[in-house]
Amino acid sequence: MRYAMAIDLDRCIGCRTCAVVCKNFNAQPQGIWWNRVFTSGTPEYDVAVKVDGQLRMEFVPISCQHCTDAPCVTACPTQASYVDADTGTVLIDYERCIGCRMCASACPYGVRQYNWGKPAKMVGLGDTVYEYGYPRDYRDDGHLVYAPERPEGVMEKCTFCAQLTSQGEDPACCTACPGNARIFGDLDDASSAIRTYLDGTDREPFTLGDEYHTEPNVFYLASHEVSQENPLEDAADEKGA
Amino acid sequence: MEKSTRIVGIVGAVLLVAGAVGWGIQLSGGLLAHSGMTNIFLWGVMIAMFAFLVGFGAGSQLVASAIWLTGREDLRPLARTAATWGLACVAGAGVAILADLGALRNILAMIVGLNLRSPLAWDMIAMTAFIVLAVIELVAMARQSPRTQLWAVLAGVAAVALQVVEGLLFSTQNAHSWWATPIMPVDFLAVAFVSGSALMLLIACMSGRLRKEGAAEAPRADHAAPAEEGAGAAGAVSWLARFCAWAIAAHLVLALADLALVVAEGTPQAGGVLDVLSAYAPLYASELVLPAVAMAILFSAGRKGSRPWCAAAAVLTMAGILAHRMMLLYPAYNAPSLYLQLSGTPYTTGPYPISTGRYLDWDATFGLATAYVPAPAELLATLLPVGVALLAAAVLTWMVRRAACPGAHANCDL
Ligand code: SF4
Ligand code: SF4
Ligand code: SF4
Repeated sequence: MRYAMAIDLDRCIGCRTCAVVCKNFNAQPQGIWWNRVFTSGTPEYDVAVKVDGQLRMEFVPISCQHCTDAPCVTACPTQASYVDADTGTVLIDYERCIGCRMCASACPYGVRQYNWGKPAKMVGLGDTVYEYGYPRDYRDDGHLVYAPERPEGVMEKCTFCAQLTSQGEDPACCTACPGNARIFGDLDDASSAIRTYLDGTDREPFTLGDEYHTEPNVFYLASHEVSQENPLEDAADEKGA
Repeated sequence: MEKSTRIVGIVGAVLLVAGAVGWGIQLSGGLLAHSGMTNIFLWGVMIAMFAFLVGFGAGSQLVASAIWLTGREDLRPLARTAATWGLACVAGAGVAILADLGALRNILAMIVGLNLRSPLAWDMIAMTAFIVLAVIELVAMARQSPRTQLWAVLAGVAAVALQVVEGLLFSTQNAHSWWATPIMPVDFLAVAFVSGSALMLLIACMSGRLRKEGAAEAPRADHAAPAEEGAGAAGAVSWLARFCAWAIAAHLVLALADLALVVAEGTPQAGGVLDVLSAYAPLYASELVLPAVAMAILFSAGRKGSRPWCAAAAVLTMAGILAHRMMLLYPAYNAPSLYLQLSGTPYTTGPYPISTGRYLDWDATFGLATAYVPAPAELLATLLPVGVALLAAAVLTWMVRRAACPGAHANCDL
């Protein structure tokens, strides 16, 4: 079994629902984001870039890429970061993590999140603290990889929603995405949702940060805008002809 | 105990207490709460201090080993001082790493689940091996054991291994162009030679001890010609001045070669590194110019053994190395690693922001870089490892001297 995710940039509308749902479902403390969405080419959100005379705005969600050759796992001195042999998912055992930040330093994707100080729950209106997130600890083969009450001084990141996917459910971000842009499944299973989706498109999936040779298991599909002609210019050309 | 040793010990104890207070404040709001670090800038001044002290420790040991290997009987007291400071500085560095760990209570996890593929695990192994060998070497020196040379060589090998592993800890992180060069481990070694010889030079310039020990010890050494009063100290200063000057030359060549590699790389990541270098130009200039000036002094006045000039050169060198250790961090963490291409096109559009993890402190949720400024408590906490190193140096000096010169009170100043 090899868990993977496909993100179809053509379908992503940049609503950031996946980021918010991820934060909520995984009980992320204040300031911690396992998943984030920015527009390619600008440090700001929702800004277009001009390419070949055309404006283009492409939203790119990025969370842990669950790399096959994960530098974070190699770097971790305590084996707190490890690859789940059953699914290929990269996980962190909170009980083994000593907070050295070696893994985050080694990750080229900037997806690892360290808890500085005491992990603080998000606050609601009128500064009320509310309970949110999957309510129980989740252990993978004895490793504590999710806890609604975060221990102090540990590293955290996307687990492919291990507490859900271990029960055969889709990750929270995939279920919540209004554009169905995120497709999860087992790459080794020809009938899985992800294989069906990838096999059914003529677009070649690509991965991020190839220069780091990490072999990610999150695949992206290019947005179609790139192959579209400018309809206004086409119309003008036709008129002129 | 000699007055200068006592002063070093007292200063060390004061710094240790001040640093412990800073560390306590840092942890009071949760682990590493009071610090300027973020999920972009993951290691701060404590790690810079760690690398700084390890360089001094390994480098001092390399000076001691070099003296034993070259058979310089007249410099044996210096070798003892160097070995003592080598052990003390590495002990201080070890404390820096422990202090920087978010969850100190989990340190056992490192031992229980040691990942032998991790450079940090090897760093801990190399540091432990060094400390064990350095202790044995010091005991051998104190007892004037005939096996001292063997232990000095072994401790020297451990010092080389420690610096190379240290360099690999950074250079294996491909995510950071500034670190991921083959030069990094070699330069770590060069910096150790620079740091150790500069520290010993400063001590030799300021201490009357070496002169006394040179006179006291030389007649005892087998086959040694009787040393003149003061020959040991004068010889030590000019020998160290040359040692340090050549080490600085090697380090500067490597540092500039490293810069040339980044310039030649031509990637957006390397471009980001160059931007950070220009943003921190004064600090970067200090790491190059201060040792360069020191080198010029050492090659001129230093060769003649001028103590004031050599002491000034040693201080300049140490300041330059401190700047060098800080500049290990800025261009690495503040140059983004992930640049996106607009899908389906060859256009690299720009770097991708990271969640800082410090929203509560600074309202900054995402960013490409954080202008790291150590928090006051974080700065104060860096005095902890320095204090440990100084206190350990004083205690070890006293213990070794006591064991090495029993009864010879006139020359050993006990
Ligand atoms: S994206 Fe980063 S954290 Fe995730 S597996 Fe790859 S290197 Fe590790
Ligand atoms: S911070 Fe935790 S998970 Fe990351 S390298 Fe250190 S021990 Fe491993
Ligand atoms: S798979 Fe789960 S943990 Fe990962 S980004 Fe999606 S919601 Fe977050």
